[in-house]
Amino acid sequence: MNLMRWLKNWWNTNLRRRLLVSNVVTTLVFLAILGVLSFRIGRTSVQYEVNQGNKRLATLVAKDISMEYEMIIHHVQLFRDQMETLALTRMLQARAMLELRRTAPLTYRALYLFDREGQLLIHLTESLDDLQRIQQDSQILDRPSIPLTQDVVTAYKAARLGEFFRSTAQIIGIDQVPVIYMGVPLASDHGQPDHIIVMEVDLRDIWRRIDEIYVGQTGQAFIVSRKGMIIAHPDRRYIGQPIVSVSKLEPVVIGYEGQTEYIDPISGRRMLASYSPVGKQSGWGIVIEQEKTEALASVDKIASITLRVLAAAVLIAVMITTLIARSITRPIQHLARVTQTIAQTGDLNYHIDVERQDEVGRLSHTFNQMITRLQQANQEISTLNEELEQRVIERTAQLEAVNKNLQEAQEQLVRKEKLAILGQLAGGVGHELRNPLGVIFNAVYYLKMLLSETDETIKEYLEMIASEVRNAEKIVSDLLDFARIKSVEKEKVVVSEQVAWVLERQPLPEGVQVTTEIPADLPSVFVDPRQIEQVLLNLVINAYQAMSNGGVLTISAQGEKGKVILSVTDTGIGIPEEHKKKLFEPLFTTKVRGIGLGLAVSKNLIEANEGSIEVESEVGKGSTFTVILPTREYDS
Amino acid sequence: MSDKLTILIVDDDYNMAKTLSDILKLKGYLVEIVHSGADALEKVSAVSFDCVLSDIRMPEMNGVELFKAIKAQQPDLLTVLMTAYSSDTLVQEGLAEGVLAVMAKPLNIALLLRFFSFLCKERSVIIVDDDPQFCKTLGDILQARGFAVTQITNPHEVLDRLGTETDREVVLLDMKLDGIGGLELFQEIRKRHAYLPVIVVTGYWAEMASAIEAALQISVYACLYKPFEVEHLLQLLDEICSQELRRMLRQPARKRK
Repeated sequence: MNLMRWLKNWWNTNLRRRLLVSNVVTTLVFLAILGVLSFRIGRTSVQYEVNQGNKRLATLVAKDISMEYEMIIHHVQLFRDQMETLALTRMLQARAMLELRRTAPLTYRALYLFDREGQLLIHLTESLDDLQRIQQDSQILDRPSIPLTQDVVTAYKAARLGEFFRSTAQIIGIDQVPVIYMGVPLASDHGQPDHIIVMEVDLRDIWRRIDEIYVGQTGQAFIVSRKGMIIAHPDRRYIGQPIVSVSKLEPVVIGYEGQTEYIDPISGRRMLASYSPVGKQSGWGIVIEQEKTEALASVDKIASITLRVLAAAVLIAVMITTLIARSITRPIQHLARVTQTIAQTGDLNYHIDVERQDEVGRLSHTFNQMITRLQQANQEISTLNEELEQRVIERTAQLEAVNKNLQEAQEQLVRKEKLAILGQLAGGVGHELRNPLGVIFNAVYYLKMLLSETDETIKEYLEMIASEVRNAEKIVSDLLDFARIKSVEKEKVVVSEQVAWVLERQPLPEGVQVTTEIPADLPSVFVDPRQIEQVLLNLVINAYQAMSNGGVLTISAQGEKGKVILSVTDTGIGIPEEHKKKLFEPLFTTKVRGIGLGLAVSKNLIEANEGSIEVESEVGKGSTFTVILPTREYDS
Repeated sequence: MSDKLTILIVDDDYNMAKTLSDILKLKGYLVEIVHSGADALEKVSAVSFDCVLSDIRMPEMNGVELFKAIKAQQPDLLTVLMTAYSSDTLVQEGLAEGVLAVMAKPLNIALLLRFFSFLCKERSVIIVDDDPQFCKTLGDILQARGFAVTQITNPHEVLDRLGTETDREVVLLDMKLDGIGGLELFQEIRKRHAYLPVIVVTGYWAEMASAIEAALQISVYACLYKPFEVEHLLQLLDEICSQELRRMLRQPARKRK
């Protein structure tokens, strides 16, 4: 299963690999089929050629041997004719026989001369080869003393019947000599043979021809007798052996020609053989055999060359396929890599060079278009995002502004409500206090009038009461002012006069210097003089109190279009930052005495007069209160 | 007017009424006290008063209602209202109805006493004209109407003959005088007396036009062209009287140089 999965994976993950493998496999299968087919056809045709060649050779050899054989027959017949025509003496007969042997194309190993009764008259052996010896031994020869072989007897008997006898080839003796026996009747007048000659013919001269036949390294020829025995063979071990084991060679024994294939029983090698009969009378067959391997060696050689060529072709195919596959897959892989990169990083800044017009080229082109579209889309999205962000920022700012306004409005509302409640309370209390204060004041006034002549202590005490009632009344007035009890009665007010009046009214503390810097051409302001006086008084009193250890009070003014800016600056203790915000709130005070309405009242009064008041201060250096007042309406 | 002013004090606050009455009595005024509007009306019908001092906030009938009732009976009776509630709508209503003044409590006694002393004084008219005939005739008419009259024919005497600020004086100034121009004289007067009411009189309307214009700029009270209706002058004098009384009752804003 794992292997299957691995294979599947291996197959599916690489396009180039797939292309390569498909191409190589196709090439390989095609070439293999082609190779096998051509090999087989080649082999068959080569085998056919070999067989044909061998058969021609066999026919040639057979013809050659057949001619030799015919020559022997012809020679013997010629001898018989001589012998028949000449009535010879025994001596002459012997001489003729010697002559015969001497002129014979082949070696006659032995010659026998029999008479009609089967009496061996002459027996020539190989060693009796000259006439002298025949003469010496004639007596001996007359007496056939040697045993006759069966073959000789058979030849004699056949010939006595008047037949020209020819035996098949025989292998005789220790030397394994191939021979044939011939029985030749010598006719007389009455037709009955008088004498019979039997010849033992040595075939080795003929057989030697076979030894000289070579076909390649392993090819050779041999001769088979009618009895199915190998009678001539370059390898002597085969001589005398039957061909029974090679039954496929049987047709040659019967006298047919053809070709066959068999396994040699002795060497065990596969052999190709062609055969042809030798003449019509000999009963022999020539067989040309050759080891098949060698016979087809050329085919095998071609095959091996072909195999190498095939391998080279496959190699070249692989290389070409690789190149082609690479050229096909490279843009695809590039595309795949780019796509992967884009998928992983989201970076769209890629462009694929389109070099081709094929499907991959079109794919790349389409991909580029897609990228462009994506970039455009991205661009649009980011533009929209920015716009959205911008709008969110704007809206947030607006909301913040609205929020701030709301908060301020709420604070103002709360402050107003606080002030309203305080005002109600202050108004109520103030008014109710005014009646008793009035009575006390009246009473004191009365007493002072009445006791104008009395002693100083009483006067002093009465003055104390009056003074404190005034103080109390001042507080009540502040409360009522704060509650906006008085209506605003505007008129033209000269700032310098107002300032001088206030400074005059308020005793100057020890160690404090006062400077005024008010230009002579400063326009008049249009305000309620009493209320502005009160504001100035408050500011001056505060400044004096801030400078308990001495300092300089500077009151300066300058005109601007439609308004006058009046500054009251002291060099006193200053106001901490955290107090600044609360400074103008009612009931805020840092003084031991006082209810913290002075600046709140001042602010209210100034705002009622359509002016404004601000403060700048630094702890340890002093404070500056800046009052802005309007000049006459419709002026300037 | 006699030295003995008769004053009616109306206040539901007994102590307030008492102390105020005692002070005024000590100054030699004739003072009556009532504690309600109804009592006040009753008192006003019975006795002739020079001035009524009334609180505004009282049960049943408030000060303004009282003033309206008094005005219906005696339109010339001077009425001053007092209140601890200076922002009261009744204050505005009272002022609109024609009350002389509304004073805030605690009362500025000194101011009040100055007012009464002013009220005690004779109303006087200073006629400045180089025409003695004119002075005489007009002086006689005015004296008959109860004014103290000073006739000045020499313009150089004018400045010496003017009284103090607390005097109930009105100057009738001819714009064409011997030796000194009416405008210059008026400017001199204004320098010394910021509030002294001055009425300019002239027979030369066309000639004096620029001088009159200048005088009006420096706050001359009015300008009369000879010959003028005496009734018109008397009306002006009443207006000035009333205005002066109101001025006396106003809280001093500041000292003037």
